[in-house]
Order: sequence, then C-alpha cells, then structure tokens
Amino acid sequence: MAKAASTQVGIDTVTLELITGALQAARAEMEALIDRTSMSPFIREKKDYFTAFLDRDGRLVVSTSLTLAGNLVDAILEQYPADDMRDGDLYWYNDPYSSHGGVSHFPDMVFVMPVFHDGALIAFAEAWGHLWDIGGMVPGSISPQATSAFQEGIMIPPVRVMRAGELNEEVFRIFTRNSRFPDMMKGDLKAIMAACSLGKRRLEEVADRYGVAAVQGAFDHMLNQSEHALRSEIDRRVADGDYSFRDYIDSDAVTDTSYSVHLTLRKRAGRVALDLSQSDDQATGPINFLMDDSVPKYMAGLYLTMHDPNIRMNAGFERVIDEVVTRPGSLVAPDFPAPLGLRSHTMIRVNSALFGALALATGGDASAASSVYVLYYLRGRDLTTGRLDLCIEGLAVGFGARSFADGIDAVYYVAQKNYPIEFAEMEFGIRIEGFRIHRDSGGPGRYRGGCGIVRDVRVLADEADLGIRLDNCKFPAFGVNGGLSGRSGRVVVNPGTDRERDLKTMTDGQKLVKGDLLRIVTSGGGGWGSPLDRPAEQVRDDVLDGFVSEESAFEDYGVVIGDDGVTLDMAATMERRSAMAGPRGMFHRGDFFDGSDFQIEAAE
Amino acid sequence: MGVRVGVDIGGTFTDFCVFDEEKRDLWTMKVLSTPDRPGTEVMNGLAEIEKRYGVAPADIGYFTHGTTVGVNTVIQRRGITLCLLTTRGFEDVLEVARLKMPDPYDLFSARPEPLVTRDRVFSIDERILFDGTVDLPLDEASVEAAIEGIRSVGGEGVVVALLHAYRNPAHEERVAEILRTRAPDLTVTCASDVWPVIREYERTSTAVVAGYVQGRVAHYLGSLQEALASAGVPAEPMITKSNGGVMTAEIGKSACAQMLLSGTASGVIGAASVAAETGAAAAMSLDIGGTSADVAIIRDGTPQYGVGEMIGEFPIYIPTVSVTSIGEGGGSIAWVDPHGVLKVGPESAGSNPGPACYGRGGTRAAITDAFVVCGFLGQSALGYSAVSMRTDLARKAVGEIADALGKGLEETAESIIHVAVSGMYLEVSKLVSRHGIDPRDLSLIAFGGAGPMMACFFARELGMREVVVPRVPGVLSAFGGLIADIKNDFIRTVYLDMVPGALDEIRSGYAGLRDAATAWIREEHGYDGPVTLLYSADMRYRGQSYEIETAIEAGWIEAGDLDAMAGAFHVAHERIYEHADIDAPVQLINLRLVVVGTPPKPHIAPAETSAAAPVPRATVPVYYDGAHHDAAVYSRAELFAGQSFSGPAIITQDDCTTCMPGGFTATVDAMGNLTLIRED
Repeated sequence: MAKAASTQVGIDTVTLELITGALQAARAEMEALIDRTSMSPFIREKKDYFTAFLDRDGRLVVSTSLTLAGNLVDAILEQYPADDMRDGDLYWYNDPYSSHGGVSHFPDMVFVMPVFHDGALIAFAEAWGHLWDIGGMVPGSISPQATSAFQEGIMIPPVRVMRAGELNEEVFRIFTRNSRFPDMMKGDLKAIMAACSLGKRRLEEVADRYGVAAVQGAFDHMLNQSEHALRSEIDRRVADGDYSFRDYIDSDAVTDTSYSVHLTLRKRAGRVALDLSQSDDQATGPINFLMDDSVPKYMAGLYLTMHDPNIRMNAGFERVIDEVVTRPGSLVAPDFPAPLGLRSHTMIRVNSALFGALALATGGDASAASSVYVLYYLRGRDLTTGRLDLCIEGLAVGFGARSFADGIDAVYYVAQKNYPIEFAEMEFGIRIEGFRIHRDSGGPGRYRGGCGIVRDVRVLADEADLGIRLDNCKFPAFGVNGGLSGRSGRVVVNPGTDRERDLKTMTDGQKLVKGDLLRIVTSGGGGWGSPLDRPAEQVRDDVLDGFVSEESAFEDYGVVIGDDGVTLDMAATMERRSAMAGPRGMFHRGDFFDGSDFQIEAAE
Repeated sequence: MGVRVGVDIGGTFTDFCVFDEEKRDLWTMKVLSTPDRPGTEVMNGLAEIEKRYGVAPADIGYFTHGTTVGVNTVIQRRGITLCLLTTRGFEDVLEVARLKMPDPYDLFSARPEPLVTRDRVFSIDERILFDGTVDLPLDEASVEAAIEGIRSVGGEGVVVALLHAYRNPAHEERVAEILRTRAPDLTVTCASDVWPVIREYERTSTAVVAGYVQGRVAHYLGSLQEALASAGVPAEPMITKSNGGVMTAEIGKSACAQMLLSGTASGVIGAASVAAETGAAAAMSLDIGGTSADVAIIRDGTPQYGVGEMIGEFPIYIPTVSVTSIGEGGGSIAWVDPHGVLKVGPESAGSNPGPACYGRGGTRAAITDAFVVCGFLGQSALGYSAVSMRTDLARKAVGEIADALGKGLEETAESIIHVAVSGMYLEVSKLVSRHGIDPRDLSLIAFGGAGPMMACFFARELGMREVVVPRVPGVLSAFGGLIADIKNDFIRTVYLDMVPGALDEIRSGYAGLRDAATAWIREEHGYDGPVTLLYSADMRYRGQSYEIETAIEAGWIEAGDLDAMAGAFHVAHERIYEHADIDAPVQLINLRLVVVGTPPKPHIAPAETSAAAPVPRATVPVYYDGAHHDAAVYSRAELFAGQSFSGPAIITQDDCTTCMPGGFTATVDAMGNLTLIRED
C-alpha cells in the first residue's frame, strides 16, 4: 500500500537548519524517554542505547554518535518489503547474524518504526538498548566463557511485533519467558518501543509543518554534507597508496591465543577501500565482531571530520568509502554460531587499526590506541550460611593520546560510572582498600596517553570465583608518531607478600579465599609525539599530580626535577633531552616499529 | 511598617525589588554590577532607591540578597590554595572521579583540572567501615605529617573527607580538632558537615567546592554586613540559597556551599509564586538574559529539586532548585556557516559590547537586533534609560547576514528568531521529556531582560498555550528572595531493607534529624515564628543504583507504617518510570528532613482595575510570519486589571519589552500579571 514519496533537492537554508534542529531535538527526546523510563542498570547507568532517524531507503541520517552499525533497516526490508509496511508497524530484532551485523551482540534490542505521510513511507524511527538479561549461560547473558551464540541468549530474527498499531503479545510472551528478570525486560522493551513511537510522531509533525519535500531535501542535504566533508578530508590528507596496520587482542578469554585485526586503507584514483580480509580467523571465545560495512566507514568519518561540529555521523560517510572487504570466517566476519558477547575488544581494535593506517597515511596525524574497558565478576560464598554475593564492576582504562591533546585518564567506554566504594562495601561482601590512578600507565608522549586505575579489593567471603576481562596486557595500547605505548595492566593476588601470584587477565573461574587481596591494575592509552617535546612544566605537573613518576619523567621524558620534588632543573633537562634525541619510529609498543605490521614476536 | 528590599547580583546588572509594607506596592531598580568591587553595587542601588522612591536605609526592615560571588570564585579559579585529606589509598578520588567522560561523544572532550591538585592531597591512616565501626583507629601522627605537607605547599585551607564518615564522623571531627589546634590559620571543612551523604566522590567534590569558595564568600558577607550596618540598615541581611530558601548572612559565612546557585534558584521561586497566583498546575520558568537562558519546571507551585548541579565544571550534590541553563540569550550572535546555513550562538555579544542596537561598538547581529529589525523593539529606552536603541545599527548588522543568505532584511531577521528559538527548543524538549510532561500543559512564566521578548515565539514552537509575564519580569530573582522561606535540608544515610526490624533505626534517625533541624532554625537562625517539617526518604528497589526521593508523612513513622512508606515509593516509581514492582524488596538509603520557617509574606496590593479598553500609545509596523502587521504599543504602567487586548502588540516597561504576535490575546489579571493566551 505504501507509495514512494517524491524527492526534491534544493531547499532554503533556514528551513534546512530548522528541520535539522527539529530532528536532533526529536532524537534527543527519544533518548531522554529511554533514559527516564527504562529499568535496567545497563541502559540507565551506561547510557547503552542508540536512537536514529533513517530515510525511506534505510540510510542513516541522524543518530547517536556510537560507531556500532548503520544499516539497521536493510534486514527488515529483506523480510518485509516496504510496499507491505503500514502506519503503526513496529519491527524488532537482536540477531547479529540474520541482520548481517545490523546489531553486533545479542543483548542489543533493535526496534524500527516506519513513518508515513499521506500514505507514503517517508522515513524510519529507530532505537536500540542493551537489555540486562536475555537468557543464556550466565545472569547478564554475556560470558567470557561462551563458545557458541547459543549460550548467549535468545535470538530474534527480524519480526513484526506490531501490525498497524496492534501488538503481537505472543512474541512478547515467548521473549520475556527467556529472561531471568522478565519484569525488568518488559520495562526496558516498553521504554524502547515508546521511544520509536515518539520519534515517529515527531517526524510526522516535522513533515506536516515543513512538507515532505523539505524533509527529504533536508535528509539529502545532511547526507551530502557529511559525504563532502569526509571526501575533502580524505582527498586533502591521504595520498594514493596502501596503508596497513595490524593490532592485537590479548586473547579470546577461552583459550590463550591472541588474535589480530588487520586493516588496509587503500586509495587509488579516487576510490577508497578498507580491507580487513587479512584479519585472523574467527575466535573460539566471544571476541568475534560481526562487523557491518558501515562500522569502519563511520569510524573514519567521525574521526576525520571531528573538527566540524555541523557534520553528523550518517550514511553520507558510506558513499565516500567505496568498499569494505572482509573474509568470511574471520574475526570481523565470523560464521554462525560463533559467540559475540565480548565483541567490544575487537571493535576497539578495528578502530585502533584504522588509526594506525591513518597515521601511516598522514605522517602521524591520528590518535594513539586506547585500552578496552574492564569488567570483573566476583562471586563470593559464605560457607556457613550459604549466602552468595555477586559483584560485577566496570573499571576504567586510559584512552589514547590525540594529536592535539592528552588521552583521557580513567574512563570507561562512554558513559558508565564506577560503583561508589561506599556502596560496593555494603553490597558485595568486599572491602576496597585502594582506588588510585595507575601511575605511568599513560604512554609517554608530547601528548600523554590516559592512565588506567588500580583497584584493591579484599575478599571477605569464605571463598570466591573471579572472572575478568582485562585486555591490552600482552599488547599494550600503541603509541604514535614518536609517542610510547601505554603500560600494561595486570591482575595480582596478595601483592607484596610471599603469597603473591599473578592471574590471567582474560579468564573466568579463578579461585580466591577469604583475606585475599585482589589488585586489578588496568592498562593505559598510547602516547602521541615524542615525549622529549612535552613541555617540562607539564611533565613536572604530571609528576605532582601522580600521573607520572619521577623515574619516568627522567627515563621517558628526559625531565630532571630538583631535590625538592617541585623545581625543574632546566639545565640538566636540556642536557638529558639532547642526549636522548634521535630518530623515533612511527609506532611504539615495547619498541619502536615503523612497518605496517607489528609482529607478534616483538611483544613476547 | 517598613520596607523590604530584595537584591540579586547578576553578571551585568544588579536588580532590586522593593516592597513598601504600608503602600503594599512593588518598585524595581537596576544598577550596573561592579564585579571588581563586589558589594559596591548594593550600596549604589540603595542610594538610587532612596533618590527615586524616598526609601531611607533606616526604613529597611527586611533585606534579602542573592550573589554570584561563590560561583564566580569557582569559574574564575580565584579561591584559596586548598588541600584535601583522604583515607589512605584513596588520594586520587578527584582524579578518578566517577570515570564518566565529560561529554561521551565529543572527541575533543577533556577532564577539568580539579580545584585541588594531586600534590595538595594528603592521606590519613584510619579506616571506618560501612556500618560505622572503626577498622583502623585514627593515627594522629599521620595528621601531623599531613599538616607538614599542607605547610610545604602553602595551603590556606583544608577539606577533610574520609571514607564512610557520613556514617561515623568521629575521625573527621578529630582531624578537624587537631587542625584547629595545630594550624589555627587554616580554614577547615569536613565533608560530613557540608552534606553527610553516601558516595565518596560526590561528598568529597561538594566539600571541595565549599572549601574552595569559603574564604571569599565569608569575607564578602562580612563586608556586606558591615556596609549595611554603617549605612544604617537595621535588618539582619538574609542570603538566598540554592534550595530556594534563605538563611542569615551570619550562617552563610560558614554554609557557603548552600548559596552557590542562589540567584537562579530565587528566580524560580519568584516564578513559582507567579504560577501559584495564576493557578497553573504545571509551569515552566524561562529566564533569558544576555548570554543564557535558564529553564525550570514548576509543579503545583513548587520548583523541582535536583542534585549534581554544576558549579562551573564541578558538580555539587546538595539539594538545589533544578535549573537547565542554555547558552543562548538576547546577545547570542547570528552567523552563516561555510555551508551557507544560518546559525545562532553559541557566541554572544553579552552586555559588552552587547547587540549592535546598543550602539556600544557591537557590529554583529544578535537576537535582540533581529527583534529590532522586525519592529518589536526600539519603541522605548531599555534598562532605566541606560540604553537607547540604535535601529540603524541593528539593520546594518542584520543586513550583513541578509546579504550572505541572499534574503530580504526583515525575512532574515525573522529567520534569526526562528533559528534561535529552534535551538532553545532542542534543549528544552529534552528537559520536558525527562520530566515526562506534555509542553502543551505548561504555563510559560517568562522573565529576565529578554524572556518576555522571546516568550511568545518560544511558546508557539513548543505548542504551549499560555505565557505569563509577571509584574516585575526584570527583577524576578530579587523578588523571589523577598518572598522566600527560611529553609534548611538535613540528611542521614541509613541503608536499610524495609522490614519491621528497621523501624527503630528509622525512628531514631528521624529524631536526630528533627533535633538538628530545630536547633538550626531556633538557635542558630534565631527564628521564632511558625515552622514546618517536611519528611522524605530516598528509596530504591534492591539492586537499583539510583534512588527516588519520596515524600512521606510524619504520622507513618510514629505509627510504624513501613508499608505506607514503601507504597509511596511504588507510586513515585510508577509516576516517573511508568512501572512499579510492588513485590520487589525496597531499600531505604537516606532519610531526609527539610525545616521551613515562614516569616510573614508581603501582601501586595491587587492591581487597579479598569473596565475601559486599554489605550495604545502608538501603532507601529512589525514583521513576522513573512508579512507586515500593525502592532499596538502599550505601556505596562498604563494597563489595569481586567483589561484585555489582542496581538499583534508590544508592551513596554522599564526593564523589558513583551513581544506578542497575532494569535495571542493578553489579559491583565487581578495581581497585575500579564497572561497571553494563544488561540489554536
């Protein structure tokens, strides 16, 4: 019944700004609605949700700036042709495999609502959120131990959950039966669905006010704007050639094997390709990242256009990069049913491999690598009462230095806050004995990498099991353009005693007993530019602020601080710095390397 | 009978609102602020008031005052060299913060430099556990070592913030005692005194902001007290608080954390009283100045409260009237971006040079200039004749934008207004959505220099039906201070499951809060009038990481009715999140008590009524909706209660101009408020 609305380009710039503002307001309103009415901590505290408007062809126009996936509607259109869609329909999926990476792990529930005007399909309103528990092998559904997607919760291929405003209750009942926390699920689903309805209503209002042609014109303009901005940046900054970089994940959490993402940025006669086909084979454990082609395109687009606040992440970026090449059965294109729960580890490496390639293409004008956020699970048991305590905490890491600023210290992936110590001690049967900056973990550089943190946790339960995902230990975040790599994290029990022992950092099922002190030390971000170029005052301030030790100030930065610990010895500093001067490589991880392909042996 | 004076100091102007108890009349005055010599503007204003209204200092029997001296101290980083003492192992509390990025999606994002740098943090050997028991006794030698450290970095003041001190402040108190004895020149702030609530980062950050501004604020209040006394003002000055109440300046000297956002809060209090007068069940206050717009939600005449409001770059967690600030005001500048798209803000001409039409050297078109070009402004002098309108300069500035866009002059001016309003809509729609309110149900209370100018356009964009312009829109914050209650907040973290065994601790907790509240208002504040105690509790479902503050009745505690408390929480949860789980276990995290003293309120005389039609002073051409219209110009002073007229119209008064396009009808209510109703 749907008919295509006419498209008209050529739109008055004031109307354009008004429509753009209205769409952004509507999208922000959708987010606020999810934030206000959702129930689970993941959505509320981590802001783990995404809202977007897509045009009637399913091209992303405005969205949350999270580079997870852009082709959110294609899988739905395959199953349900646009001609058959009706006003009041709502479509739903969470299956990365049947959506071809429209979503990248199972807990993210995608809802899409077509928007009509005078009977014609004009756009889609979309929202997804990360649900707390959708079944699977462990509470919370994501386990580092998963070896199959079937262990990671219920899979929903694209389905029509609402037909012309009529909810399919049966689908809902089947779904909520699969969760350990069905009430929380219902609350969250209701919030996400309501956000889609709100977005649809707002878009209808915009179309009523300005006309469909103006809305389509605004969509086209926004896409064109992003396209042109990215194209001109690539033309300006990247010469024809192949730029390759390989980056590593410590392990897949199930085996001790390390995995790598390999990315080649190829530019030839105006054509741009991103080739990831030489990435490793898919992993046994859940670090596989079923990557939609839009993901690396958006990463490149957002990074290269970041100086222009008017540029939005959207499908305009996709037109600039002609091709993304992946190899079926590889880490970034795994075959069903490879597990996907920890895909962030690989996703963040796709980003850093892209930055590596861009650094080669631009003579170092790209950010250094960031470390991956850390989660640990401590399951304590009281042997007398049988009481169980489950402690799940997210921990911060250091982000990579930027070509214009330091990396950010102590930050989780985006919006997650840490658990206050005073609450953790009440609820988890643990005592936190220290929470500090991991000094010297930020890679030294003209711009310093962000520092990770140290969390000291005393086990008070009779015995406890530890699961943890702490990456960037074997392969610390690399430095760029003369900057050094970040320092590795570690997991150690009873440090400084005769019972001190190191634990694996991507693992589960480690045994701890009452009185053990668990020290989790997280990894820092890479540095950018030569540390010898960092103003000595900034190095001194970092020493005073506890981010850099006096030893590192001397060894890495060539900065000499007087006996009072405050005054700079400028003469000694200049002498030290000139003695240290010399060529430095483009990249650094333990040692400098210039080549595109950091060899695994180099780290071991 | 005497005179009451409310004063609010803003960045550009200092506002005065004067209430004569005999004539029951309200007067207003504005003088330029003197940021370099804080306090001088108050004395200047009192002199002006004496000149203009014949009010002698000796007549002033009640004096309230809001000031930005605290918040400016933070923004300009002009506080003391502050040190921090923490429990050993947690010295990095300000640097690790809560891990969240300042702006998660901004690749340029950076953390602010803490007010206490890490080299000024010293650790204390001690440990208290979550139940208040002492795990490691205080090692006084570590305090001595910390004092040496403070000396070595030239510290002028110190904040003591130890783990779990909200539960057992003994160690903090002992450390403070040692500091006062051994280093009496240092200012000492204990986090458990400032706001004793669970969450170590939030409590520490709040105390650090408090300790940082303490010296300047106390000094400022002392000078104010002296200046008023030497001028012969008999009233003890009252200071407006972030919670919308007032306290004596004497208390303010040690409780400066409570007055950091006093100006914005008292504006909302003023707006809330207007909402109560007009009977609006839900209202939005819109205070637009030169560089920003402050928006707040008012329900049933009561402002909404929040925690984590920002003081410059730092959050504080004491109860504060929740205000959303948008970086767009009358001085926001219009420009054309490289893609040829018209933008407004965030750059602002502020008050100096100000919009082009001020004729003080501004050459770029600001929002105010667009209103001038459209014919709405320029009908009378602004700001007590301090500024006269240069329409020629406004037209020149807007003309440059028009050339860049290839559009007509007036068309461009209207576009600037639309883009500006649409930008404000973006922020406001988020706020409204967070509150789960339909904007069409809100009454818009518009004030500030540019609020009444933009309000109708804003209301049209949000679909709001009613705009109210108060009697004194230019000085509503000063007015809010005049009518504010004496008010203080008390909190106690308990962390209890809502089971019968918890009752004793709940009762004794509230009893302790009640004693503290009574002592504060009767003894410390010296107030002997009627007092109200408001009880509430922060509750959550077990497993949730956020609480909802829920109002409860004192009778429930006496009767031991925990079900009623939990029931109130379920209802609150349902209202905010649209679902509740009555079978889930409920946790009680904090007990709260607010003590409110209500001094006699000013009884403002009703506006004079008239059955006659209002008489416009002139008719002028205005431009909106793409066409010219004839607008009647009214003087606010010549309007009487009961009078009504339709738009397009312009209503001028001393300190602002109300711009009303067609489609609105204005009515003057019994209290003199101007209500503009939009026809559908």
